[in-house]
Amino acid sequence: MNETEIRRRLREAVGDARYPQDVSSRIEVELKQLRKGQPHPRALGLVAAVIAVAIVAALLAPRLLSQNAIRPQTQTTAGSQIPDQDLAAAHLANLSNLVTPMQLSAQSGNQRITVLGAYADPARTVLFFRVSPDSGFPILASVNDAYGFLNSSSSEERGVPGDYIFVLDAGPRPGDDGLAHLKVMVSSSWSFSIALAVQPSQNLGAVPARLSLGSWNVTLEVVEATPSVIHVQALIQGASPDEVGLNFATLLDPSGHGVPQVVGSQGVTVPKQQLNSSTYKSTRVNDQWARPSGTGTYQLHLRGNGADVVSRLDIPAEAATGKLQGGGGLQPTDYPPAQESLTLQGSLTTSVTTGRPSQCGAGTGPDGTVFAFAAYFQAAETWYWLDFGTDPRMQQYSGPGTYKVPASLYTVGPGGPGQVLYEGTVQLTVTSDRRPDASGSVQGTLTGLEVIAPESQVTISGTWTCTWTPELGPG
Amino acid sequence: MLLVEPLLPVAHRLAVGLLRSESDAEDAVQSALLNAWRHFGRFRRGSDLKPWLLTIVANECRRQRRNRWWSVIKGPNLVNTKSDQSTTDDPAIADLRRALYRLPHEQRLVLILRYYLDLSFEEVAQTLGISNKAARSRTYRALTRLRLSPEVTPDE
Repeated sequence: MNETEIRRRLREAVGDARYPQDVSSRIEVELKQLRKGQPHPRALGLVAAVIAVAIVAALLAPRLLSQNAIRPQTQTTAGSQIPDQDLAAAHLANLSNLVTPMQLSAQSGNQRITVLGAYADPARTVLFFRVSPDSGFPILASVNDAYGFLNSSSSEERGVPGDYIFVLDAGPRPGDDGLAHLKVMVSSSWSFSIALAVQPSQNLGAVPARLSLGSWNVTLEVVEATPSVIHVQALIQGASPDEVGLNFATLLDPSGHGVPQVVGSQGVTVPKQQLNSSTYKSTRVNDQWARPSGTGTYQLHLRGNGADVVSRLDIPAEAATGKLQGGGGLQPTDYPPAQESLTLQGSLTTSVTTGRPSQCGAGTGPDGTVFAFAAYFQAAETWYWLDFGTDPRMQQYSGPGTYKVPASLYTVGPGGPGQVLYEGTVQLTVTSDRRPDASGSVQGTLTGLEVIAPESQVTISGTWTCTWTPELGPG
Repeated sequence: MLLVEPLLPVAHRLAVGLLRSESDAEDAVQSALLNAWRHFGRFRRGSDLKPWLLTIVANECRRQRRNRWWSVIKGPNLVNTKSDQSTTDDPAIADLRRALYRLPHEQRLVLILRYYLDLSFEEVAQTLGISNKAARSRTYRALTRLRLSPEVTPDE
């Protein structure tokens, strides 16, 4: 039997393979879905593979990096430029000044990968790669900071030909020197060490805040504006990731138009081995929207389980963000610390043992004599500003004693106190209003105001003191 | 997927030939692409990408068959064989198909590469990582086992 006859018979036996015209695009889409943390049923195997690669890479990274014999040669030159197309693909078109340029190259085999630059804020880590020769394969990197593996969904964008932008949907943690020290592994063959500034974010609401969507208990863990995105992270008890779905949160601008979403992922909160009927009903959602260029009051819609909650977010101007440390006004840490013993319970639960009072004492103004106390404090690495004092329209201040006074709890922005989160009337007891040992106590409940959880409350109780400084007022 | 995109049809055809299921083949090609990406650092520049990718696809297909402890026939996804439509008309083709899929993986692979993908013996050898003579010999043995009385000669 000749080859032609063998070929004919074998083809008849096997049958025709109909190559679907869209298979390449489907494969590309599924790979992208996989990398965005939205597993497709067929890609579950790939998900496991990627996780395995990431885990192995995370475990091996320190060892590999310590072995000079197999460490890729790295070169650094200054002044690299990142193409505008790359920046736009990373949603950093207007933030090129916040992207750290670098020129770190690593060679493996015949392929060279160069890190052109990097950007990080608390919500995301962006790495700009150039691959030569361009393999056409997606870049999948594992990133460790000084505290361990950054376990998060990720995505890949294309810039100019040969350029790949790897976006990790999590920010790195700065070290003692204020910089994040990253170990980046690409395909187990290329590794890079990067020191990167983490751009600050601005808290847009009281967190953690709790609300209900029917039987779902939602805890908003993060609501922040970074220089590049608006970031919302929520923990939902009582719903599986499938039940939460992709339309859990939407952001509308002041005119009611949707803000483009750049990240939308949800996942279980425990390792796969610990999944059971209970833990499966716990979902963590990570949503990010491109940072609007305009300021104003936006609407955050949370939907699910047949319920809908709308909250207002006052988003400051883009230019003002990312510069908490460089703003024109005094920063919280510009005020000396003072010993406090305040307890906050409710939607914001924390114990304040150290505050940074910015107002403290009695003074006389056009409306009469007032006593005011205000202090910055930190909870879960987020700055807040607590303010209470007598109001002459309610009651004149007449020396140490007990007063009903208005009180407010604010977010803190680049220029100081920002959005009011909670307001109410509290009972203020002034024990001493004289320098240098002004002190007293406070007791009362504040109610959420124009915040993401309008019905939430915070109860404040405890004692306060001041540290006198020239900046302190009134006095 | 700039470089590998032109190779996807042949990769898909190889997977279909080895697995006889469109959906399984698509899964295998996806997994193979991920593996290819993971190991792209091992690819020698200047080498032919096609046999390198086909090797990975073939390995992925073998892995899928080994790992599969169940057997599901997906009607709509089965490849369109002439004999499926006329099994009763040509029992010889049906017998040949059964025999082909009972062959050891290496022998079935060499036949698929040579006669289903129309690769030259040189390309078959590159894909299998063996010599040209060994490729011819393996083809001869596989055809003999299928009783197709090959006219090729075993050189090994």
